[in-house]
Amino acid sequence: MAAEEGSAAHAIREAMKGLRDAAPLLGVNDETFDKACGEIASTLRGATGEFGDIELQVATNRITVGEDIAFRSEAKENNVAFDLFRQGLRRIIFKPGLTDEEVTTFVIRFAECRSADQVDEDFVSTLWREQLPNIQYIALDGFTEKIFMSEADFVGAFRGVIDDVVPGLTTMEELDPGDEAARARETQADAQATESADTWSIRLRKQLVDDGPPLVQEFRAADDELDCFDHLAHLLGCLMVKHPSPLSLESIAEAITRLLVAYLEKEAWERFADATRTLRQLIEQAETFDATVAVRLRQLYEAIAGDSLVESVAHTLDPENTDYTAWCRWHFVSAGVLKAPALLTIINRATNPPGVDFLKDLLRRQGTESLDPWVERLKDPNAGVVLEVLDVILGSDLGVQARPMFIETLKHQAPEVRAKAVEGLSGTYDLTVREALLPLLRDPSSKVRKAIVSRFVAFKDKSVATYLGSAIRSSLFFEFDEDEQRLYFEALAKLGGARFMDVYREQLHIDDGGGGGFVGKLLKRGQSTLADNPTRRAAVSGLAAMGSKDALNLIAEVKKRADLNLGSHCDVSIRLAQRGDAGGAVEALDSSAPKAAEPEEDVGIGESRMGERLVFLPTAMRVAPPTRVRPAGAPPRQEAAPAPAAEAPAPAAEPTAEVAPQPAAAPVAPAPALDLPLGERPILRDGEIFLPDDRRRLKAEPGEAADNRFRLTGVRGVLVGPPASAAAQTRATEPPKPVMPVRIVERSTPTAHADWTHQPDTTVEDILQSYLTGGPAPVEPPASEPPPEPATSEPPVAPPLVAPDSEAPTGLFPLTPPPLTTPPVTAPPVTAPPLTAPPLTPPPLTAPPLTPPPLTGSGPTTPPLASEPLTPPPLAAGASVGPSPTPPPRPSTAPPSMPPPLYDMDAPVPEPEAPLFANAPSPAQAEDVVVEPDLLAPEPSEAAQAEAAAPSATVDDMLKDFLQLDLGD
Amino acid sequence: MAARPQFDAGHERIQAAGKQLLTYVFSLIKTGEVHELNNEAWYRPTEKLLDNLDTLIKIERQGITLVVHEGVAQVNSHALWLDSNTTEQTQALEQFLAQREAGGLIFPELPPEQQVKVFFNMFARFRAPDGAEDQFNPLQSALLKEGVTKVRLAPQPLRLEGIGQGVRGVASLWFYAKCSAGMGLVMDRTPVDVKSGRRVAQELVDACGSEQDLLTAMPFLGRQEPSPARRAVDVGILCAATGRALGLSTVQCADLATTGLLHGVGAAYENPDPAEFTIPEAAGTLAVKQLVEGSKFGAAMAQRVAAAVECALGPDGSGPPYISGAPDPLPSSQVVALARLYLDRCNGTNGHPRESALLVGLDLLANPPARIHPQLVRVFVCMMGLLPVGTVVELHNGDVGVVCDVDHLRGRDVYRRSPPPVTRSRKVFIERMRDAKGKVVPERKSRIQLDDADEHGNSWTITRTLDPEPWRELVTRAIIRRPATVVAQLGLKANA
Repeated sequence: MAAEEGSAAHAIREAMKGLRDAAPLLGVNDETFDKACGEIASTLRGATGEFGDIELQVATNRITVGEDIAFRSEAKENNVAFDLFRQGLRRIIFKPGLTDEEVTTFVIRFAECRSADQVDEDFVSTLWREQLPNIQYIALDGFTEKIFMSEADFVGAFRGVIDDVVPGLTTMEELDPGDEAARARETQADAQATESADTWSIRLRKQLVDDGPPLVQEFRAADDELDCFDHLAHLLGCLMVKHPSPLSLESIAEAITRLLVAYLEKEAWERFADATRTLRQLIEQAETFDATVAVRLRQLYEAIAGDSLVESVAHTLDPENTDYTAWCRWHFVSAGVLKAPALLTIINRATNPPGVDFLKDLLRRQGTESLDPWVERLKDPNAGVVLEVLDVILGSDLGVQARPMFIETLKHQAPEVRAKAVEGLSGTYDLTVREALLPLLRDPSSKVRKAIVSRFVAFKDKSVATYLGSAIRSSLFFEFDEDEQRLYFEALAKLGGARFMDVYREQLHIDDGGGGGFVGKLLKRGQSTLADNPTRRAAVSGLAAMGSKDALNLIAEVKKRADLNLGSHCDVSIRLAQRGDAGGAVEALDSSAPKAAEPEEDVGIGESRMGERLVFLPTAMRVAPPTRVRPAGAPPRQEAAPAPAAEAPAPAAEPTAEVAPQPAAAPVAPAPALDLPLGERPILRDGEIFLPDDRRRLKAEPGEAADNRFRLTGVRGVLVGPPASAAAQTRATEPPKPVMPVRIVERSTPTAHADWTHQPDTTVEDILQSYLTGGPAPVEPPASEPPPEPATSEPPVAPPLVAPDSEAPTGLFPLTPPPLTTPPVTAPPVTAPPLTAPPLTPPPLTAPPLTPPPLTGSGPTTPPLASEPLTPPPLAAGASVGPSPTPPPRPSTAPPSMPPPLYDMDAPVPEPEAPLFANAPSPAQAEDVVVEPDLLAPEPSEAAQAEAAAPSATVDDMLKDFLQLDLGD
Repeated sequence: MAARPQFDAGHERIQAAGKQLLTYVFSLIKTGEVHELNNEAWYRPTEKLLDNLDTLIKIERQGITLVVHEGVAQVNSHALWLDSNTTEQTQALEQFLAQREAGGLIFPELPPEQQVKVFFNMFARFRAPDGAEDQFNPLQSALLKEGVTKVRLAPQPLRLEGIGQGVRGVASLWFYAKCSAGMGLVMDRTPVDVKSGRRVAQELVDACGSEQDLLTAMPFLGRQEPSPARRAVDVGILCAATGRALGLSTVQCADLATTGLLHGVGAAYENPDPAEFTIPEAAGTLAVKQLVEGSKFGAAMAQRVAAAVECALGPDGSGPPYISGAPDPLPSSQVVALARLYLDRCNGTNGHPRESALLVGLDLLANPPARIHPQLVRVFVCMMGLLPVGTVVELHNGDVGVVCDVDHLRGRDVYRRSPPPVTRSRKVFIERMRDAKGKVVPERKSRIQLDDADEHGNSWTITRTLDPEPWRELVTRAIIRRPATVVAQLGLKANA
């Protein structure tokens, strides 16, 4: 039955319509929403005042009051009846005394929950929490519905619980029938215990009264959200160092980020900084933990300084809180996790203006390591994206590093991008840039052409004057507007000067009768009037810019024959030239070039802006974890893997749980910090064992060696060997090992060494060989010292690679004696024994292919590099031993029986003919290695000598020679 | 905000077929009233009913239940959008079904045509024998005799106003059993269905308001090894009761109960390496995933996750998930840990020998566990009492009784109260079930209050507590004095 006007159902209908219309306004239009709530409250108050309790029965598509249908809707969206029904509400009772606040709360909660399937609380739960006295309801939950629907499994479980708790209830007789036999009375708690219980009961109540409210206060205090977050941060810190952990790295990282974002959502900037700082310190102390934990911790840097977090920070950034902004800047910049492309994506999504500025600032501080991804973004066909990237690059301090990207972008299809790229090249100019810019003189876009010309003028590249002249002579020139024509003429004047006067004459048509042309000749007129046109005006401006006597004379000549307009332009131009103000077009463009970016603020000042508080002490995590109980029948666990060096690439995060071998029920305490004066990154920490595929970056001293074809700056090797469990056996039996090819890395930045005299003369091969075999490099002792005593006849045990003596030099090289008299050896040929060496144990799957060790830059074969032996190089940076010409005391010398060498000892090893670093410089030449690579060759060939005899040339000289033009002042 | 529910094609098909099913059920009942089985009038509605039933079974991929209840027609979990015609049919059908004390029909699978005809014919014409207690069970039995197995009557649901309400025992049993069954679903799902957990927690808090003493006894009355879901409900009840004992607000009590209910949901996440990680270790660690999946990150979520990690750490912090440098647990985590410990000791689970609540309480008071506030231990023990409901005792006169009622923390006037309501006086009532000779104590004399005077002027005192195992049936009878009423109010009669 439809609701009649004036009935309760009619009032409810109006209220429900109001509810339907108001709900979508929450958070959109607060004023209208409040007004709507007031109207609903007024309607319901009036109805309850008139009719008393009003009970609504809610169904899928209708709400009835008694027999009357108060509301009916078949709408699939914004249907109040269905929204209430699916929340579980079946009855709603509005009672007299309803207040505006109650109604408003009801409407707000309904609006919040009506469409939110993912929130942790539904409408009924929120109503329960609100405890609105005058709005009562009956709701069905999903479980009750299952019972109503007689869902077999659920009802079975329901009955099962009841049958267990109160067995026999459903069949129990009303009256107790009594027992046929006496039941057993087994004591559970005896009389003494019950007496004690009495005593305790009395004492307990008294004690509870005496206890007072502190416990309750503690409970209430524990509801403080931020304290809870801090607690959670502490727990997450514990889980970060838990090993092994069922929680995957991704999951823990997500949880950490989510927690930190929760601080931001509460606008608790300081607490956010505290938590982040604490977790960061924990991560930075990764080295003090077990190797696997260390790896895990390092990978979690992303969680506290990665994309997700920075996006949230930007979203919530408060521009007024400069301390917080400074701290965030310090945090994200110093963490170095963010990459440019991701930042750009976040910028594109960001809506908070201060946050966008913050992100752009972070982007500008990106280093050169993110260049590659930038190049990809510069290829984006969307000009807007590329322009944004260019803007950021221009604002960055990438400098010359960004030049290739600008050159690449000159090919972009959008003219504004090309013009911007030309701007980007404003800080640098050389042959490469010139060659890239020249073709763009014919660019279809005026903006690009103007930018190009201005670059040429700015760098005073007189070599392009010819091209400018050609451009002016071309037929396309007349399609340029006057400004551009003037720019070209002025640029020609500045770069070409008087040499190109004929170009001006040509464009002025001063020698062919001026504007009369063919018609003039036809009419046999004399020298006709030169009509005013853009080209003539531009040419006159160019002449004025030239400012020479000839140029001014030519202007005067033009003026004589010019019409009124052109004549006055000539006057102005002459006056400007005399005042030295001509050439305004070029200067205007030049002045519009972007200024160099302001020096960046030092991010370090932000570090202490948000205090020093820590949520927990990261050192507290370094205690040994409790003994784990493993499932029955679990296989024994293996030794933990050693920590790879910090430089080693971190393995990709695996979605699965990380389970590294570890002895069962024997937690591994974190490796104690060594007191030895180790190098920056010792190869082995105390107690570490190498496993197959472990990677270490070996540092060589001197840091580089070079010849005329390559420069060796570092050695990176992958150690391939048997599993740790078989390590001892492997060493005892001296098996051959498959060997990873040595990779020689070229580095463009030279490192100067003042004194190499104390460095051992050890080849890379020797180093690797000794390293892999566990013994010192097979080198001769220095001639200045007596040969060391041979080792005792003990079994050949590999000596430690790290000197146990704190005074001994640390790192790899100091362990090898400085062989001042090492005979020359040849570099191993490409068919070196490692290729044929059969491994004792199966090589790991990730073992590198058995290809000849490629020496970067040296081609397929390494030429013999005969030279004087190297003198001992200085220690690695940070080592405590100073540059001394005498070698430091060695903990051990070459043992009489060598441990298994790098290659198969049974295989024929070619006799070395020359040292690997044959072209290594003498100590006196050491500095020249950096500056003049050619000097490294001690005995250059004839060709080389001839080449060396050629005069050295600077880049400018070469450019000059090539162009045969003067590059100007 | 999440997307609105999708009214996809499947939903539309269920609505259409459901309404057709409703119409043809109604039609067949009317046909049964009028026509004999051999009449052609059966053909068309039967065929149509089977067509629609077939459609529904194919969409739902399970049996179909049609229930009509208080004007709402529902097919499995789908409430039908009724128009005016179907609304009238629904009301009429509800009346037909009510005559048989049924709420709807269950089609476990597509029935043969003949069974459909026989069912509706009997439904319309059946008369229960004289003296039958109800209509439902005799009809159901008669149908089975006729070989109708693929159409059954669904029991009549409780009235909305009466759900979980009734004489003493109904609320406790209803909510305990329903929540235990329901949490079985919650504990298996990821992301964790926090909504359901909250609703359950709120219901438990409400149930505590009516009969906390009985509800807190439920976890100790069963003898089966509790499932994780039931264990979760046990902990949730004790948490809610502790919150009430402390005088916290209803919302705080519900949050505490939610924390207790969901402390073990980490087990819902797949253990990545069962050979390496025990269930407690995996559950305690993987619970952290809730942080990412939850849509609302606040104190309640933080406490839930913290409790999940901390509850098994144990007195010295060395238990699962075996973490170093763990902080002192939050108060809510301490309540959960204490509740678990108490349950394990009283029920003899997780490696603990079964002990009486009295001995466990005394021991906890004397030796409060480390990492749990001693004051909290006192509150907890006092809340539970040394003689909780269900304890079998021998009285000073040799009678054997069962603690059936403890008047301590009843009603809703315990919230936001200071001093904590736990300090209020306690009255313990005992139902004497057998006298010293093993005879039944008459009901009118059976209920006594501890420390009151007996007929000789002596105080009723307890000499010892007894192992309840031989007395289980009497324990049930002692705490539920009107079993038939309770069964009816639970809606169990029809299911019997």
